[in-house]
Amino acid sequence: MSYISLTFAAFVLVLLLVYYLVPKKARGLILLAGSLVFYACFDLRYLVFLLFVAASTYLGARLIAESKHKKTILGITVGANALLWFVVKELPWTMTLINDIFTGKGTETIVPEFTLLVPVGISYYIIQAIGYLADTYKGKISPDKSFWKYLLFLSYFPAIVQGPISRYDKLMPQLLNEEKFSFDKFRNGFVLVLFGLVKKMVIADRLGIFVNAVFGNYSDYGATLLYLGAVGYALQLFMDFSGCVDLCRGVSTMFSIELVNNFNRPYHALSIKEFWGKWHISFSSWLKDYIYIPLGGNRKGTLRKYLNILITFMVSGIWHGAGFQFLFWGALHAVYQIVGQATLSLRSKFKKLIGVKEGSFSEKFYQWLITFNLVTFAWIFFRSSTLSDAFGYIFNMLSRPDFWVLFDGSMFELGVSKNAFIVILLHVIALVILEFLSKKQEDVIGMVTRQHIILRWAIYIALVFDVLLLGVYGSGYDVSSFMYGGF
Amino acid sequence: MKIKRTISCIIFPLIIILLIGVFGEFLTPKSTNRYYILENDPHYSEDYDVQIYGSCHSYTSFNPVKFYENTGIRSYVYGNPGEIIPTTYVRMAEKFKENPPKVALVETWGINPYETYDATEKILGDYLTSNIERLPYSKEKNEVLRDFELDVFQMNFPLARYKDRLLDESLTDVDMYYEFENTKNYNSDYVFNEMTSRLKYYGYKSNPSRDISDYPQRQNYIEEDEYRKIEDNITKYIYKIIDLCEKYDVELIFYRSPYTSTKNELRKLNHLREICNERGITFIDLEEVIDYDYTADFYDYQHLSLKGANKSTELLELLIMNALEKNSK
Repeated sequence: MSYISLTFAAFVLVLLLVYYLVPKKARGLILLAGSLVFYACFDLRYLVFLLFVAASTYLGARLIAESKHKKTILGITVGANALLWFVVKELPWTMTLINDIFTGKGTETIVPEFTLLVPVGISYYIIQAIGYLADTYKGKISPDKSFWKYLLFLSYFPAIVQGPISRYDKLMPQLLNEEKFSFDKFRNGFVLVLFGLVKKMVIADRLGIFVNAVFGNYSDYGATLLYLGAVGYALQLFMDFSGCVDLCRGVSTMFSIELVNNFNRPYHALSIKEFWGKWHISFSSWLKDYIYIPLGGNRKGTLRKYLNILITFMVSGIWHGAGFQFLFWGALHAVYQIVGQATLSLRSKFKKLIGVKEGSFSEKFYQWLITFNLVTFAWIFFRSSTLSDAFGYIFNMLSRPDFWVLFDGSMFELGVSKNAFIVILLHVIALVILEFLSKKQEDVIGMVTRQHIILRWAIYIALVFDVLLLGVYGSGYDVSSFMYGGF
Repeated sequence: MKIKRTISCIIFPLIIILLIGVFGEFLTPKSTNRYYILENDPHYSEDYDVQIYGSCHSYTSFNPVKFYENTGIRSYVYGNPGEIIPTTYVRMAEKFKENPPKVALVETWGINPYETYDATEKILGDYLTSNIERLPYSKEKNEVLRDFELDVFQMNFPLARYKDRLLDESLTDVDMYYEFENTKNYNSDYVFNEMTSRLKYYGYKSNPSRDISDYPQRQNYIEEDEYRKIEDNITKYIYKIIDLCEKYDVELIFYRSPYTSTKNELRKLNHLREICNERGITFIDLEEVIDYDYTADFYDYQHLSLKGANKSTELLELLIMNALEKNSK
């Protein structure tokens, strides 16, 4: 069941109705039943994986709380779940890699190659469960006595496919809330869902047509188109992922459950470090709390700090998928950060030398321009099918000038017409203006809902028809899955 | 406050639904073709004892005006260009729910979307979608959509199908070439009287720009006992039409209007003949019993002229009168 489907809309409405009609004590059970049904709709077999992760980490946490060998139990439980994740997500790729290395991509194999069932969202709920184990180990939380409540924490349907990755102490009390139906929350949730749909269907999926055409045939294009393809992908990924998060948060708000916001204007960042404080926040804070800090963080000297940054980002790369391109993408971000920190004083001197004042608009603009382009450059590795494709893409981008494509109309022959580009551009501009007007997304929603009913409804209707008239769906299109759902 | 919000919750979705309808209507291409005209014809929803269904060959082979002049019985041709039997079934089911006739005629071109003079892709693509998308949502329609792997959502939601016309700036009407009559500017009566209009445009003669004197050579005659099975996804709907007529106590007649047919098309007619014999349904191939004049009775290789239609109507009239008599018993 896709989040963007009439089936999902009907499912949410029915679940909402039942949720608010049953006695308050039974709401958790309804949410759990709904979440399991939602997850089983993808494939009934997925439930086995979910139940294994839930049961092992539930028992692990109970044992950690009660046993003297906390560290051993933590290690075994985390190891078992990490192994499950590795087998499902990485093993098939690893086997192919071994065969490629030892047989030179021939037809012979020295280890068996296979594909495995990859349950949707497994990367998300496994690290959410690991976070729960670690918090129990650190004594930050007491392990849940009820398996069913804990299962709900892992399987909560708006967050199971691609997060946001929630912390037990923040999410669990809300899952069992006994609040009355709130019209305001329902309305705010509805507006968030609309924003999510606009981002996903009007911007991301339309940009995706162009991006797929460019990345799919990068050897046919030159610098301008390839640069536009990379920028397009940077925007597509953000609109797709944040659109999904808006949609999921919107649905969750209708149930009076607030999920964490995963984004805080990431492309406004003025440094790579700042970018990671604004992009996929729930995951980057997870990496910080459960990888970077346990490794020693910045407490063990500069060199060790750099090593910790490198390890943390490489874990991030591996988590995103099987393939050297993800590993390289993670390592590249680590290098950005390390070089950024190591050259801090040097850069400061250079700025003085060329006369850029600290805190001036010029400085911020240069910082933004460099940060955005560094992030976009790294996304090329993230998007490419293989590492060699990524290098091929970059090589062509740097070696084949083709400025004329901006004027000869050839860029409009890649599946996205001139009008569609204008639509995308107008939407991006509108979103940037909204981001400048309000520091938090809640402010935008508040801004809309505070208006007089006629203006407010006009905005709602405009959003609905923005999706219906300009969204990518229907004849000739497939509503593509959310991109981060694949990680 | 509660009442205000409850009213809001009702009114807001209603506005959205209303606007979806308005945008859907606005974006749907307007065609001079019959499936669009029928929808706007004031006579479409009236009661008719005799109803004629099928493809373009139905409205070029039967003249309701002539039939009315001869019998005083009003009839209506619900056929559409390129309409295949599954769509005909959906349209019949829709009409029968409101106004079941006493006699239904089904012209048989639509039993063969796979081996006829038009490409299958065109028939199962353009024609099928154009014909079925404007029919109201029903279980019969959804069954056909599923059988022919058409998107149920799009075929019931014109906005989804045509929204890109806005972005592509292609909101002009689609004037599909409707050969027999330029009916777009007619306000009413255009379907019921289309044969009269045809007379006005072309008279009783065939289209003078087309020489079809070699029609008999082009027609692929076959031996009567040659047989080829109609595809299952079509046979299913032939039986459904028969069952539907039995359910509503409607006398059913299958008839073939002449056009240059492939051998396999004619072979498949023998399968239909077999089904009709099995179920006690009348079947007639007009070309077998009427001596058409190929220079005057045909408009082109595929369609009859008004003169040819009147000849056919006179013969079909006999069958209809028999059927009406049978039905009244």
